[in-house]
Amino acid sequence: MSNLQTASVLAFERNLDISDAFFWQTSSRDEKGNATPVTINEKSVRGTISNRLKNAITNDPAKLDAEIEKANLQRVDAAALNENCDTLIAKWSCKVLPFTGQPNVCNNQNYQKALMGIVQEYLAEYGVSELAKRYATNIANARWLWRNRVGAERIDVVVTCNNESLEFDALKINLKGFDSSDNNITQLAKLIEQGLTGEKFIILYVEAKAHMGFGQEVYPSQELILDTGKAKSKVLYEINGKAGMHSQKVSNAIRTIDTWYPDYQDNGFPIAIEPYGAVTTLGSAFRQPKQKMDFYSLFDAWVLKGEKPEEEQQHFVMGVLIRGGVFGASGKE
Amino acid sequence: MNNSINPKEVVGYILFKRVQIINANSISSPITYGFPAITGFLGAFHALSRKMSTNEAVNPYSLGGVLLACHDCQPQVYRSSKYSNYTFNQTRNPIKKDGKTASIIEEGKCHLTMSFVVEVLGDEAPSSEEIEILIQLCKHLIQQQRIAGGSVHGLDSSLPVSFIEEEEIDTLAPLLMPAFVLMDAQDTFAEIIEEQQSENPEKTALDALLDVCTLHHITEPRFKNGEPTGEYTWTTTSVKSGRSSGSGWLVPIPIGYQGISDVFEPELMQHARNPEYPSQYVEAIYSLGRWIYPQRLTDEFENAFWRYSHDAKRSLYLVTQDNP
Repeated sequence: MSNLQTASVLAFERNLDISDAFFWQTSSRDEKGNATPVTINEKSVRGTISNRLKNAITNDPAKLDAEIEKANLQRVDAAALNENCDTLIAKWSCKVLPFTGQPNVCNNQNYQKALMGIVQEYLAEYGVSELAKRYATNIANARWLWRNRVGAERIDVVVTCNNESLEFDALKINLKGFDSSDNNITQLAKLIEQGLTGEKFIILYVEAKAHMGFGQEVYPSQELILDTGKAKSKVLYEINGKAGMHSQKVSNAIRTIDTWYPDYQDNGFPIAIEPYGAVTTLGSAFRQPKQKMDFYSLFDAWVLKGEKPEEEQQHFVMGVLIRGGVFGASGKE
Repeated sequence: MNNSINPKEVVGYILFKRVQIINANSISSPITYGFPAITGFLGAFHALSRKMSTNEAVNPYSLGGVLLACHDCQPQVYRSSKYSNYTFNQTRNPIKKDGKTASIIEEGKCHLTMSFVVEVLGDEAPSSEEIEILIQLCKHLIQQQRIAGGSVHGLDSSLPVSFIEEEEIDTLAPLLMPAFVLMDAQDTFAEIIEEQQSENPEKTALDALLDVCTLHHITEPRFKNGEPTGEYTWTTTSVKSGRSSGSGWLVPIPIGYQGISDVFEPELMQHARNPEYPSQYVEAIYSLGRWIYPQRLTDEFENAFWRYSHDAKRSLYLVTQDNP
């Protein structure tokens, strides 16, 4: 066991395979429930000058006036519900693939054997019920609607699997904890568990109806464009003319289950499963390698030296493997 | 050609209809992009065949050549104006351990709707029970499978996976419509090279390949009564124009790899993906492909299947449509 080395090529495929979310709209007054796609429109606006200016300018009224008179012209993409629609419908699907600990690629057979050994041991000891329950909660509470969740008056989430549907009142479900005893969440967790253990092939169809108000703005994903030129400063994601949310963004919300990081007691909110506990919006990594609580420290100690972390950190490590990624040792660092 | 490796015969076909693939890799080689490489699809079905072989009920059968039919392809690209270049939309990755933004690893992705027809190889035609198991198994496995780096997110709702008897291959065309089938256009490529070289003997095959994607704008002065009027006529031509109608839309494609080093014994090459197999450094090879409407293919459906072929003497690893 002692001369075991991390494989230089090591990668895991994601086990929760999530599609893009598509945006539709309907009206709560429409009894037939006809839905039309949400489209993305371009807006050209004259903005105000409101950025922080240099002291030399702000101290001189004439200079400030001259600065403020400049037209701050912007062209951006925006998406909003039609004036006769008040409900945003977001749909996506989630495939739950069997999790066995088998890497997608691994160029060191001895390492792979050790790795699969610890995963099998974990599965035998705890199963995947804890992780499944947390994923289920995040599907049910519509965390994945991100900013669209904030302004909504009411959100109904329906999850369909094999012709059976489960309904959730998303805003009633706690965003900060995973101790809900809701029956439907337990059932959804059961389905995810069946998928992860490979007992059944599970594909979940998730649909949320969020009451936003007539004509309200909704928030699809923004595209990351390296060479924008000067034409447009914000480009939103559309698929065949429909507004959409990137699958990456949805899955980041689903795996926001990590309450096992060191600062959890102070912060009180779960973070996404990431090797360094990275939260982009806060610009910080909550699992610093210094504290030996990051994925690589825990994982290497576990696989290479057989030092089993605490139960909670074991859940975290397995969560990272289910998320997938490239974990090989490049030998450079 | 493959006979030595696979003595089995084609005993039927499996049709995977309207497979929706999201975020597939659309950079197919160092100089071609827009659609995944053929090897990306063949690899997926090879993996599927290997998974199939672990099922005892259908293990006398394996999967062979693959016909590729594309219904819809949406590259994830943007251009700021009608005249600028397209760029691939990127993804932002989680921040690094020190809280700094991770560097962007450029990739190109596309969403696809594809139909696949895959040869089933075996010693004799499968029984109806075996067909039923094959269909169920394929339907199940394809959804758990990555194809060209993308995820499968759905199949046709009415006819997801079906079995087609060997002699009924001619009934395929209506099932594939509307779509375009990718065919090898090496003969057309050879013609173009020859044409180009007859005009200018110094032109190479690469020039010919690039010329397929080039539009030439040619001006000719207009004459009236033998006097130039000062006006010009603009004509736009390309090597594609003037080829017989029905030859399809020509595109440069990578068709495999050429070895550029010796073959190293297992474990010799450092950091190889699979150290237990021999490895070799290779470079991509290009040719022409063409997209054809399935109706026009009725006589050559048997030739529309892409298969692996290996020429050890010349270290060529290719995908071809040659009949074995």
